[in-house]
Amino acid sequence: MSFGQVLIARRPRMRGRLRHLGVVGWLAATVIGLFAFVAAFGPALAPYDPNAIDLAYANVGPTPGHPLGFDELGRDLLSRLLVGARPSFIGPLALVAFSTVLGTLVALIAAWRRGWTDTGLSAAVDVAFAFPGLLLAIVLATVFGASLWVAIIALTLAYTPGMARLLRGSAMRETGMEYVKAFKVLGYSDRRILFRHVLPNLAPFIIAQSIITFGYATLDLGGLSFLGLGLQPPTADWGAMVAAGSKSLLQGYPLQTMAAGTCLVLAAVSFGVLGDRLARMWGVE
Amino acid sequence: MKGFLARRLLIGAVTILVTTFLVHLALYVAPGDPVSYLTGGKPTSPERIAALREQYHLDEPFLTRYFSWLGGVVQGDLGQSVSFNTDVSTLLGSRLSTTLYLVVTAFVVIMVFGLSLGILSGLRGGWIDTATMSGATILAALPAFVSSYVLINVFAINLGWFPAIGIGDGGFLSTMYHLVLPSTALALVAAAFVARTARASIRMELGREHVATATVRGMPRRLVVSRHVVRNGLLPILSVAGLLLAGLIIGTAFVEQAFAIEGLGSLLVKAARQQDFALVQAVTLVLVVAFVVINLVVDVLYWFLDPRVRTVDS
Repeated sequence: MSFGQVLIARRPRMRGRLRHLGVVGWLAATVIGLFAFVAAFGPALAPYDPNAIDLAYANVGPTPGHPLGFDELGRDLLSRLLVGARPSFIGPLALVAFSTVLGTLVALIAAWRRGWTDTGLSAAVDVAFAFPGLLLAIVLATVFGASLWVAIIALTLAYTPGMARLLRGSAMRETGMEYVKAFKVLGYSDRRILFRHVLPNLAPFIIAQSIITFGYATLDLGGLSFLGLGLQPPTADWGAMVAAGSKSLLQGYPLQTMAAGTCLVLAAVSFGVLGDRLARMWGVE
Repeated sequence: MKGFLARRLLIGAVTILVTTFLVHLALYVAPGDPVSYLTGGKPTSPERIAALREQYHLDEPFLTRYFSWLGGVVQGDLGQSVSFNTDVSTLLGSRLSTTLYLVVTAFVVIMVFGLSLGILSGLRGGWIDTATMSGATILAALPAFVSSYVLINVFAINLGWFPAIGIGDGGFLSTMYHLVLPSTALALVAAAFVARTARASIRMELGREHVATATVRGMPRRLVVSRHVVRNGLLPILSVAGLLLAGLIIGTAFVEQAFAIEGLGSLLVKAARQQDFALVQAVTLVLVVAFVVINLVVDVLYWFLDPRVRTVDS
């Protein structure tokens, strides 16, 4: 989000209104900050080796020194959650970055060229939009084997059309403005007008939308890992941990599944709330 | 109507052909040799490998393979599953009905709870509105693969009201009993979405001028609500119903996994993990056909409910 931060810092209008985020908005921002912090330093924070198996402690509940207890193989649950935060964060981050950049490019090109380019791009977007992202991820996992990157690429292909479609309207409005015509008359290059003037004006919309998308991405990638079509063992993200704990849950030890699921849902809700608040604050609903 | 239907059918057929072709193409350019999977990595005689290549049509050029597959599909032959070592059509048969049950019961849950609560909140407001909308906000963020386990933990493990896994002995009542939790888990997100959409659109319709006019003219509120508010308010729901149902069908992958149900969704995931090409192709075909049929039905319903479509379209 450094692109966004730079833009916010440069634009006093956007920064000034951050005060109006409200309690819920700040709470969401705090959760996201915590998520990012654990993603960055999780392995260092983990009190135990997340992969150290000790079957004597399988499914043992919270004990002193092990606040969340142990998983089905006797590994320290808190350490696994902390280490799992990184793939749970980096996956959606890559997905949102790719689809935002691609979607913005498609929307800008369609809005700038109009005519046939716009018609063609919009038609392609409509077709791609009709094919569910999960199905695409499953087909690609069959072809290339299941991995986190295959899941990210599949979902990027699935997210980009939606992003492009959402941005196209605003991009159309922006490129039709008087100042754009003025710059054209002044002989500014297309690239300069688009990236120095049009794009910054669209930034609030793009940032709010990509934060909202981040929430969906967390759940979708977590879901693919849950199905075994995302991150592969022994590394586990939270989605894979939901699945790993399911056998223990049936035997009456729900802690792993519930803890990992709570982390995922909490992260997703926070991104949704924050994106929503920002969009409302900047008036780009 | 005839021209409208013909055009929609044509679009549907083209969609099916294009998607199956693309899936085929993706599998064809796939890295790695399917034979190595067929033999399980064990050393195998060249004759045996040749027989396998012949059996699975691995030596034929791409277009021949696609058209022979298409020809087989028309005759009900979907090829051989590598990982299950049986006919794909046999595998699909039993699982299709299970998934259909699951999707239909989930759809009923959405209609009964999501739609009616949404309409009620829109019309009444007050505490029903507050409760429904806060509930919907929470549920909308609960993905099926998390809500499944919450339901299992609360209602199967702790309370013991419903079975945790499987779909029972095959009897209708037993199936329904086993499907209560899975279909609820599958329905939650969509139900929350429908409730919110319905509420918003009912609210909007209530503020429309023709509704005010009807009320001022002394039309009974019951009639105003049923003829003008609800009928118009349902159109936005109908236009997202196609995407919603498609989402439900795909969502069965998660729910069937969580509840250990042998359905299409879990079959598809298993096939993908085993890189079982023939099986993935076949399930994808079934799903795409389902999406096309659903969209067709939605379009036809729209044609009946919204007269404006007819003038534009014919």
